[in-house]
Amino acid sequence: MNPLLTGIFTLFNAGNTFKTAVGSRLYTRWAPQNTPFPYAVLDIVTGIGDWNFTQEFDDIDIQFNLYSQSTSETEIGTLYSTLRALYDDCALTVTGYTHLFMQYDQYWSLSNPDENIRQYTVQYNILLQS
Amino acid sequence: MEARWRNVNEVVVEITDPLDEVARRGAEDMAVEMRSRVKQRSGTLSREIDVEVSKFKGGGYLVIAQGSNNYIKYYASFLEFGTDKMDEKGVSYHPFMRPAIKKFRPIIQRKWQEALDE
Repeated sequence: MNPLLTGIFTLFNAGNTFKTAVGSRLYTRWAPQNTPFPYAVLDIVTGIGDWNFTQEFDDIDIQFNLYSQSTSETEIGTLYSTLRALYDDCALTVTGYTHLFMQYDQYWSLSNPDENIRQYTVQYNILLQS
Repeated sequence: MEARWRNVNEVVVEITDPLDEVARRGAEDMAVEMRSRVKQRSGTLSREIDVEVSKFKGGGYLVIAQGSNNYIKYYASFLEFGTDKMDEKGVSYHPFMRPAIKKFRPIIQRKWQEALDE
C-alpha cells in the first residue's frame, strides 16, 4: 500500500497546522530512537478487498498514533484537532487507484503515566477503487 | 388484549433467539480469529481472549483480551494500538482485534439478515 502512504505524506508535506504542531515528525511503523516529542506514527491496521459486479475496492483502516510528553492536555489536544482538520474527508492522490473517501472512524486515549506520555490513537477508514 | 400480547411476546422470542445465537457464534468465531492473529511467543495472550455475555441492557456478547479475569500482566492494548516504545528491535505493533472485527462484521450482519429472513 505504498501509493496510499505516499498520498497521505504528500498531503502532510503540503504544509498545514498538523505538520507544524507535530514538528514535521510523522513516521511509518515506529519513530527513530530518541525522537523528540511530540511526534506521530502512521500505520495500516487492516485492509480487506471488496467488489461488486464490475468494480473492485480496497477497504483499509489506518491509524495515527500521536505522542506528547507535555504535562498538560493542550499539546496532545492540538495534535488531535489539527490532524482531524487535515485528514477528515480529505482528497488523497493515490497512484493507480481512485480515492473514494477517507473518513474519521474513532480514537482511543492511552497513557504511560511513568514517563508522562500522552497518546491518542486515531483511526480512519479509507476506500479505494482499483 | 391479553392474547394479543402473548402473540407479540412469542414473535419477539422467535426473532431474538436466532439473533442471539448468531451473535454468540459470531463472537466465538471472532475470538478464534483474534487468537490466531496474536503473535505467538508463550501463547499467554492467546489464552486470555475470552467471550463473555454482555451486561449491557441490549444484551449481546463481548470479546475481551485480558479482561475481567485475574490476569497478571496487561499488554493487549500495547500490541493492538502500539506505544512510543515500538522500534525496529523491540516489541512491534501487531493489531489482532480490529482486523478480526473488520473481517467478521459483514459476516455477522449477513447471518443476522438470514436469520430474520427465515
